[in-house]
Amino acid sequence: MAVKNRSILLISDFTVSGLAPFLRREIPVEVAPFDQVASVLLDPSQAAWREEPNLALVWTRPDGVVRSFGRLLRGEDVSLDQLLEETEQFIEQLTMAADRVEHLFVASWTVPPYVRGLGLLSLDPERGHAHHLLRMNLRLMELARENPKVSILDSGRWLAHAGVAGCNPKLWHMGKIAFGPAVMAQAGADVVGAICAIEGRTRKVVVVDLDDTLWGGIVGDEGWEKLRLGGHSPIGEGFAAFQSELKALQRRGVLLAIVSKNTEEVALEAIDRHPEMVLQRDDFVAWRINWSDKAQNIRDLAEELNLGLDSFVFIDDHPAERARVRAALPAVFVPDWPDDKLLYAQALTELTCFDPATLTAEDRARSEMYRAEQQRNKVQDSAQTVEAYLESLQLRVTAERLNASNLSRAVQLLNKTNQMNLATRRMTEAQFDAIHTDRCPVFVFRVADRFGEYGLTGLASITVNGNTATVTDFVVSCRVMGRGVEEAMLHVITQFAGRVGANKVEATYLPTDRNAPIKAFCDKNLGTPSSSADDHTSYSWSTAGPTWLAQHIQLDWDLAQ
Amino acid sequence: MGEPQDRGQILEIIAATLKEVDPNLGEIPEHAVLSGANAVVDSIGFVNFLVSLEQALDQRVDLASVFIEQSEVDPADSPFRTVASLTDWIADMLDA
Repeated sequence: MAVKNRSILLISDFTVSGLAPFLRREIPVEVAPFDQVASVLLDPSQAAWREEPNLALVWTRPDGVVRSFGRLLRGEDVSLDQLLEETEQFIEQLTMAADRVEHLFVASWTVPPYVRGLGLLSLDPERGHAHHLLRMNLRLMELARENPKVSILDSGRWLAHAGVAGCNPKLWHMGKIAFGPAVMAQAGADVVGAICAIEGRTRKVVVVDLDDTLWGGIVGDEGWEKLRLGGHSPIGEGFAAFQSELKALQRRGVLLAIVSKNTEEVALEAIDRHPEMVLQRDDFVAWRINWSDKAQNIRDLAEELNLGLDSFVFIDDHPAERARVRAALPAVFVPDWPDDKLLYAQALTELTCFDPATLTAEDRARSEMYRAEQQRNKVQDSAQTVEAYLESLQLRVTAERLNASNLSRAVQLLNKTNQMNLATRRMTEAQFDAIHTDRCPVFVFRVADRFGEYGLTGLASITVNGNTATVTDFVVSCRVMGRGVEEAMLHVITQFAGRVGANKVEATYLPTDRNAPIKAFCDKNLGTPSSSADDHTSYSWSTAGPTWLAQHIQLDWDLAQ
Repeated sequence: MGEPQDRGQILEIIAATLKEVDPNLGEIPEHAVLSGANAVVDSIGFVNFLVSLEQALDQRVDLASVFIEQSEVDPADSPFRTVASLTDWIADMLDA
């Protein structure tokens, strides 16, 4: 696929330019001509495509693109079959447009909340407009399942959040504007969240304060017994609801951590002993409970978890602490926070920065992985030598080809890894899947040890041309750096290259601000570069060379793969 | 809130409504142009602003107003030229 410009094209049968102000901080916006949906979707020569946007959003009214639905709303007899047939035609148009971009967002169909149709019969399976609209939307959702380049956005939520005022008929009569600013604000937030998700910029860690954030009251002054949490008071329920939402985030792979100005043993006693705590000590992968500057504590957590500050969200009830962290750590997202404790759970739910493009097994198990890592660190601290430590881990590396079951996680790894990333290519699932062929395989690597699974933590893409195999992507998660996994990956690449007839392997390092560690690894293992300049360093090695596979690694790989 | 409101509150409602339409707007001075050349919002934003302002005034100062007819008068006489002219016009309606 040709390289596209990072921008989004808005395609609509109504005046949709009111959405642009809510997107422009994130991405350049182009707006297709009003009410030219079919011709824009079908015809790549339309002026709307001239800037070659990499993303598009199609947001239409159901009666605008499925004409029979408009007739149904006007009281005519229209069968569900007729509606679904026209829906199918629209889906064909969407499919053609999806081929033109890296990702196509489609807003689900809604009608304004003041449209009541037949009232009691609006959900009637024979003639109810609301029933038929649900069926049409279900077909749209099937498209997203069939085509990984398409995602359906829940516009019903935008309207529900905005209320009746979000669809003022005056807007339509004055400017063919279907939805007002309150709907656009919600749509904009969801679209920005979706863009961040498909670009792999989802936040991974939420750091919370304790007093008046995780529970009501000051534990150091009042004792854990007096904290307002759970029970039958509205405020106690509010804090318990907030903790439940944090737990829900953790279940989908977001890490929880604590930064609080408190005495550690007092705070941990509250977590361990308060009977209404939804979150337990084990739910937090790390904490800094002390009297130090919170910004510095967050920096320390980032170092401990080996994650960039741009993975962090900080939640604190105190405006001064929020302002301090915002000023000191601009990469950390610090949301405004309501004064009203009963709204904490809602405020957390409304954040779009945790939106995932996919949910993989690794995501769901991430907290367990970090806890296992803490156990490893204890073993490392007590080990006499590095070799003894690595031997004690009983590391197993499994190599396999890219396939449908590991594609999502592999693309996450490709897009999120900065330090051990040879070329730092960022790709969508569709793009990455497209480069994987028999002659250009992508290998992915799973790692486990006696403490648990690290998950899919390495990948390498290889192109074989005659007697030369070229490694383009070589990506290793920081979770397994420095344990011999990188060398096992080199071993697999070299063995594979030799098996398919290559006698030489080449790899080119492309520098970024953050990938110096992969350069150091290449310099150590691959010897003197074959060529070097400011913008690249190339290495070359023989497939007949010595093995890199360390003795402490058990490699599960079928060379015939 | 049926009592006449002070000018500052009207200015605050106008500014908040403009920022609902375009969250990227910074400080909005009284001389900010609302429609036509050099306006702080484009023509679609202006329509959104008018309708949202009607709703905001109804909710916050109990002023049931219909701006659409006023917005169609000669631009030179329109109260929607600037934030200041609109503020004065609304204040007059509240005082009436």
